[in-house]
Parts: sequence; structure tokens; C-alpha cells
Amino acid sequence: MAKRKVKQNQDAVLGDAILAKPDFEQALAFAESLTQTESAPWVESCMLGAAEWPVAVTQSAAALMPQDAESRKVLEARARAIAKPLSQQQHELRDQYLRFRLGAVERYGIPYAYLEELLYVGNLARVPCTPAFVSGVVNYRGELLTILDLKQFFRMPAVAMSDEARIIVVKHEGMRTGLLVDGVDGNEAYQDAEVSPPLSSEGVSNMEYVLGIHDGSVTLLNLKALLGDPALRVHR
Amino acid sequence: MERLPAREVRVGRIIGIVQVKGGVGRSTLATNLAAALARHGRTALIDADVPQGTSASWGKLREDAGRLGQLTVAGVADYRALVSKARELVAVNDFVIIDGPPRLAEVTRAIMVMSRLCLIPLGASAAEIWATADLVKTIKEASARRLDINARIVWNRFREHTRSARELGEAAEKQLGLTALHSKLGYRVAYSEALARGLSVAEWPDRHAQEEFAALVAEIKQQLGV
Repeated sequence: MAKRKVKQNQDAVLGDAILAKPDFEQALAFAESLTQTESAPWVESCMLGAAEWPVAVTQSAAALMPQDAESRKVLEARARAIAKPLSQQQHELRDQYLRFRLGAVERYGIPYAYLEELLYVGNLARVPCTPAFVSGVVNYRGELLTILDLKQFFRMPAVAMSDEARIIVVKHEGMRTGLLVDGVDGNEAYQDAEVSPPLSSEGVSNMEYVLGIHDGSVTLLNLKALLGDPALRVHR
Repeated sequence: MERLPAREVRVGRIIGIVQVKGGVGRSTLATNLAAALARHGRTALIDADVPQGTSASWGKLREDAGRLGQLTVAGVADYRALVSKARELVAVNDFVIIDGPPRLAEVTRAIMVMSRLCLIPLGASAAEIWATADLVKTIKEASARRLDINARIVWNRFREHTRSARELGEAAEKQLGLTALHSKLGYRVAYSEALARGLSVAEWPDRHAQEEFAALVAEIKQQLGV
């Protein structure tokens, strides 16, 4: 500090003509004395593990991915999903189901993929010597369509049929059938990821026909399993 | 020191503007200072941040508008070119302002040693203050070689009324061991608007910007002893 003071005084005495600055030679020498390895200790402490960086850079990105079999399976499935055309992806990502009621409060859903048509309950003709879950048959465009009573199938208590009752015509692998329900409420969009595993749906005994629970309260039906049930086959 | 004092050469005052972090307002400070000092004497502005060249671009706009007056604007690509340009311009100008690059390179070191006054623009943000620690190290390194660097912080984009900015500012000055100029530049669009048009804030209709910059120029002149 004292040194600087003396120097400034000298400058003041001698005036601008012999300023200590600028000294270009010194400036050049100082500039050239910059070594690339120099950096403040605190900077080094901030760059923890910086010494290993060049090693990390030479590793391939794949080496940084999880290596266990389960992770690889997940990643491969993800890669396949991403590789699909966009329209296909969207179809898989977001689907719709028809929401309906069985009894007064229980809500169910059937994926749109199985839906054919909704019918009013018209001339439902009872068929003798059939299981209790077969409500009867209706004339559906000139064909006899078997109507199943899902409440009977799931062994739920019977309720009186109201005006809101409908027949949902579904089809799977050439087998067409009608499902008698107590009311149709509308449709919902859903994703597979949003469907939680079935817990205990009140009164539903045939849990194998349940796909899962959507939105906490709608039981999505597994139509594939339902229509493939041996009980529905007629053995002559 | 064996060299003879250059008694016959009248030497201009070099003002270096350095900061290793980008976007803190080096060019804003350099261009406005150049325009202000050019009203008092022959002034040169050297842009050492080529190829980015914000100051040089500003100079070109100013030249095209016929506003250069006593101002000369030059650009240099490396430290050797810088030193030779500074040597050339300092002989014929009263003030030479050097706008440095945003890195601690040879150019930055050369500017710091050559300058009579070394201005370090700094915003009150932690990142900018950390970046300045490297400049402080360079100052110490120079001091160990008996090269004094007269460095001052210039607070830029300063929000006087925010407590965090004030506290951070005080803490930074203390930690870095650098003195700040009393005048501070506020957070104003006038600076960027003027810069983009080749103007200085003195030529832009923002009275607060004009006043604060005039105060800064007065303080810098006082530092330079003019």
C-alpha cells in the first residue's frame, strides 16, 4: 500500500509525460505468462471430479444406461412404442370405453373396440332351458341375438328393469352378443397406465372378467375373456 | 528497470474494461464511456472481443450515422495485435478504451496490465461474482510481479432498492477485495436501446440513465486525474 502511494506521488510530480503506464512490453510478457492449467483453487473445488471428465467423455452413451435385464426390457418396449407410426401410437396411448350401469350405482365400462351398437330393450323373448344369465333373444337385423344379463353373470342382485335399460351389442372374433345393462352413461377416454388392478368390486364374483378399475370407480370389463367363457358355448 | 522514461511521448490514458463472464455489460460500459470521453478529447475504442465485436458494430453504426466525431473505433483479434494497436492509438489519443473478451485469455491479461484504470462491470448475481474471482487472482499474480493493476468494480443493472442487491454488492466487494466506483448503473432498457442504434445513453431520452452515466463518467475522470 505504501509502495503504491509513493508511486502515485511520483506520477503526480512528474506529470503525464513519464507515466509508469502503459508499459506494453510488460503487458505482453504478462499476457504470455498465462498457462492454461492455471485456475483459482475455488474453481477446482467447484469442479468436483473434473479430472475424470475426459474418461467419461470417451464412454459410449449406451454404457451409461441401466444394464439389468428388467431395465433393458422396459427400454426396448419403450423404443418399440416410439418407433411406431404416430397414428398407431395415439391409438394405443388413448382409448375410449362406453360407461354403463349395472344395478343402481355400480359403473362399468367396455372398450370401444368391441362395440357394435346400442339397442332399446324391445321384444326380449325368453328362451326356455337356458342358464339364468341368458335373458333371452331379440331380433337383431333379421338375426337372433342372444342377450346376456351381466348382473346374473356376476351374481349381482336383480333389480327391476327401468326405461333406461339398454342392450349393448358387442362382437369379438365372430361372436356377437347383446349385454343387458341398467343404463348407459356415456363414454370416457382412458390409458392403459390409468387402469389400476381390480380390487374387490362389490358383488362381482367373476374377477377374471375384469380388466381393471378406471378413475377409481369404473370397472372395465375384459370382453375377450367374457365372450370366450365356455359357459356361453351351446353344446348340442 | 533499465529502460529510459519516454519523456518525449505524451501518453494517453488507457481504460480497460474486463470481465470473464459474458453479458454483464462490458460493451454497454465501453461504448457509452467512449461516446462520453470523445466529447472531452480524442478517444479510441478498441474492441478486443472479435469476432463477436459488439463495440465494433456499435462503432460502425455510429460511423454510418456520421456521429463519430473525435472517436476512432478499431477491432483486434489477438493480444499481440491489441498491444500494437494500443501502442499506436495511445500516442495520438487522450483516451483509449479497450473492451475485453468474456474469458481470462492473454488479451484480458494484457488489457489489465496496460490500463491506467481497469473497470470490471459486475451485476449483483452470484455467477458474475464467482467469475470475477479469477480476475482477482490475475490482479494478485500481477502484483507479485510488481505490476500494479488499478481495478474498480462498476455495478451494472443494479437495483438500488432491492435489499439482496445491496447486500450482495457489499459482500462481493469485501470478499473479492476490490473497490467499487460509487456510481452505479441501473437496470434500464435505455442502455440496450441506445447500443442497438449506435447511440450513447446521453443521446437517448431517459433522464435517469443520462444522469447516472454522467456521474459515472465524472468519477472515472476523477480517477484518471483529468
